[in-house]
Amino acid sequence: MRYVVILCLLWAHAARSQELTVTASVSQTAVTTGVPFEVRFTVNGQAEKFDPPSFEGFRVVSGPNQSTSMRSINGKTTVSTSVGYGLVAEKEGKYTIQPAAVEADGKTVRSNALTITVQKGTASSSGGSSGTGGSNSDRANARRSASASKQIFIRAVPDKREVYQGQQLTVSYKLYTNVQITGNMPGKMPALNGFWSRPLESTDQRTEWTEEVVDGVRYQVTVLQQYILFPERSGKLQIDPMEMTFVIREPIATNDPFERFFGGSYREVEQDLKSPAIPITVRPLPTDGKPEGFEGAVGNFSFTTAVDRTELKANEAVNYTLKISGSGNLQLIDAPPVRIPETIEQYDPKVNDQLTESASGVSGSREFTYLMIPRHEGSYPLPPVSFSYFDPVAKRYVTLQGDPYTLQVAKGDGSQPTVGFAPGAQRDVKVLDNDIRYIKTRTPRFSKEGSGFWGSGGFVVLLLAGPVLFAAAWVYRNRQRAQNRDAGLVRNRKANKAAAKHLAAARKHLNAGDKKLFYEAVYKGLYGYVADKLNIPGAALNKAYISEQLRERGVAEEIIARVEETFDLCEMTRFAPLSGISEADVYEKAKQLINDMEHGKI
Amino acid sequence: MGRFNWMSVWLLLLPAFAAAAEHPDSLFAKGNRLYAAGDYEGAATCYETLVTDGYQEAAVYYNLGNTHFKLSNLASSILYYEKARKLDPSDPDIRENLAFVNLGITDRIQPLPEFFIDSWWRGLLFSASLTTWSVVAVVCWLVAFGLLIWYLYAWQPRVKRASFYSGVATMALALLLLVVAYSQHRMQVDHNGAVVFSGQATVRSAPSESEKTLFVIHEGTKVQVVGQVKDWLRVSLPNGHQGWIKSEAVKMI
Repeated sequence: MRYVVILCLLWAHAARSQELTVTASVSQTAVTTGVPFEVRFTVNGQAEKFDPPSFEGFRVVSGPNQSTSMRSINGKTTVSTSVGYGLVAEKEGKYTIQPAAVEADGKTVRSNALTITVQKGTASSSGGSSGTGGSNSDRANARRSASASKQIFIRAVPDKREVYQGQQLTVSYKLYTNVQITGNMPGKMPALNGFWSRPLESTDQRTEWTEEVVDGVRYQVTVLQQYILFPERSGKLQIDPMEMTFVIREPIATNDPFERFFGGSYREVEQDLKSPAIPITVRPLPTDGKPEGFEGAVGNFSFTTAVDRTELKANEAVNYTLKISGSGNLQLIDAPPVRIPETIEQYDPKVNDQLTESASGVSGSREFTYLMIPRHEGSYPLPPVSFSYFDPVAKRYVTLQGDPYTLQVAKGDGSQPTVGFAPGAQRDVKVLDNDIRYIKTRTPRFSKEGSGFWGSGGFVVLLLAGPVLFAAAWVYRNRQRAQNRDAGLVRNRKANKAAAKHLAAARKHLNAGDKKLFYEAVYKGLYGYVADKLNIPGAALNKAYISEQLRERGVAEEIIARVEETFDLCEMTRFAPLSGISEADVYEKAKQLINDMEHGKI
Repeated sequence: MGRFNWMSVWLLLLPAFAAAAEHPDSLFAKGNRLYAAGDYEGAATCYETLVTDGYQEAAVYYNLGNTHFKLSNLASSILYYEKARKLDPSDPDIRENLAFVNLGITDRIQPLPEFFIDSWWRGLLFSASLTTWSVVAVVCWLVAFGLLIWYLYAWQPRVKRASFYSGVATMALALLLLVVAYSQHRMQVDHNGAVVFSGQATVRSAPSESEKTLFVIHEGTKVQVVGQVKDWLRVSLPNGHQGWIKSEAVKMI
């Protein structure tokens, strides 16, 4: 631009000699694609008509911007008008800007033609730079890609490269520079996908600079932004790059000794910076030994429980507080499961956080307060609540136990609804859950397979025992019966013989004239015969029984009468001598009777 | 010296004997202890040892069913409950738990309506265990013969008559009980039930992979095996559907 000014001065001088001149000038003769530059046509004198060229190969991004200046040198006033166009080259190559034509006082004046060399620009600098052309003539609108410079860069520095899921890590985006920075523009903040992130707000506004040596080069270092990150899933995650644009001051090599003397000249360069992405390995939490009720807490914690009172009346409230303190993903911790007796009304817990976020992570405490209202009197045990977390340093799960409490609930005040005899006060027993019945604890009588009672040897033996015993009993009875019958038969057979013996004795007594013995022998013979015949014991023998037995056996009445008569006769003669009948007759009668009975088959 | 040697030999053998003959009672008690302590794997091992040693008791199968339920092995749990019920159909705990666990399976099968006499008969059969039925039947049988023997020896006509009729009636009752016990025994022998073990099993119209799929049943469903061709089983569902299934998809009860 300096040259333009000089040219202008020269032409202004020339304007005095010439009536009208048109000069075309350009900010750069060598431009890059996509970067705007300015073409200016300066007319000395009053132009009536300005006819711009077609700008083939370029795109007009601004203009025509017209400006008029009046200068008075040595009493002579010069008016110059300039028309500027902002152009952007589309493609690389050599282009010619055709002359512009100006008409004044009936004459047409043409400007000079310009030749522009267009180079291919970098893609990164193609966007977002329009509009800056020409506005700041002192700043060369040079841009550099982040990789082009080793003098300034951003790095993401995590405090850990390998973490467990849920384990907190801090990442700092740091700016390393050994050039002077004059300004910056807001860049793109990292998205940090896969992490739950908390940006750390720095407390003081001043930027603190430290010195650090990287690859043997000393850099001024400052922290741009810090995040506390909690990986939400396991696997390979990445810390996204941060993009920022800085304006840096860069010295220009110059031949001018004066300029060098005054510290040289500088130009300001916009520098796009992008930090490299950092991979983070997130290991899943081990499944081995994962305690029941683990809710995903990772860090290092302590656990306390408290109840604001343990003795109260029915329908009064009690607060049950669980406090988890320590460092870790406190904000992500849910209330540990609390088993409160079903008869106590329980409300959702109130959460109270007291957290400090620092470069070392999140620490502090989280409090869960349950409001509980027992509705009935009694003693309610509150089993200890357990809280489990994973300690990433020790690489193991830790389960902490709270304290057990017992609430002593007394009868409520009269003002409160009490359980009385009001209708409808009864309630069904609520089935709260279902489960399988418990195992059998009574030891069964173990026996090897197939030795159940059914079909076993004992079973068969017992089944057979019934009929066998019955059969045996039947056979035994029958045999006994038969035996009895046989004994009767023998007696029967011997009856006649015995009677004959008694009668023979009677006959002897008759001949001897001993009447008493005679009758006794007859009596014995007859009695014994009947007794043997009927198989009845002698003791049971009397006249009536014998008659009955004989009648039962179907003996003729006539014979029975004769038996009775003979017996009577014998009985009588034993005590008194008989008249009217001789001993011989009695003897014959008895003999005849035995004979008849013998043939009568009794 | 000789006595010392004998002692040492005896001492060496003692633990071997103890290990070989671990008493089933103590093994059962150990399983119960582990179950109560929440070590279901250990409890399952104890009970399974009892089963493989031949002590097939309803209580052992029932406890195994509970253990596998706690280990969330649905199909195994159902299988063992079914085995327990086969051995002791009258036990209410077994029936209750089987019904509860069956709520967890995928397939809901509406059984065909049963003739009421069949359900009565089945109810009578399963109201007591086989051992109970057989013991009662044998006692009745022996009492019946006792009464008849009394009849043989009684003299008084009244006693004779009473013992005869009561003997005959008891004999009839004993025969009925024997029939009940026998029917239950047959049902156990001809049980042929099976439980689906694979996550899902396709039931085809014929014993071949290329045949049409009639329906799909899922883990835990109980089927009745009515036939077999090579490694294909012909199964019948309680709703009357029939088809062929790969034998490795199920386990016999």
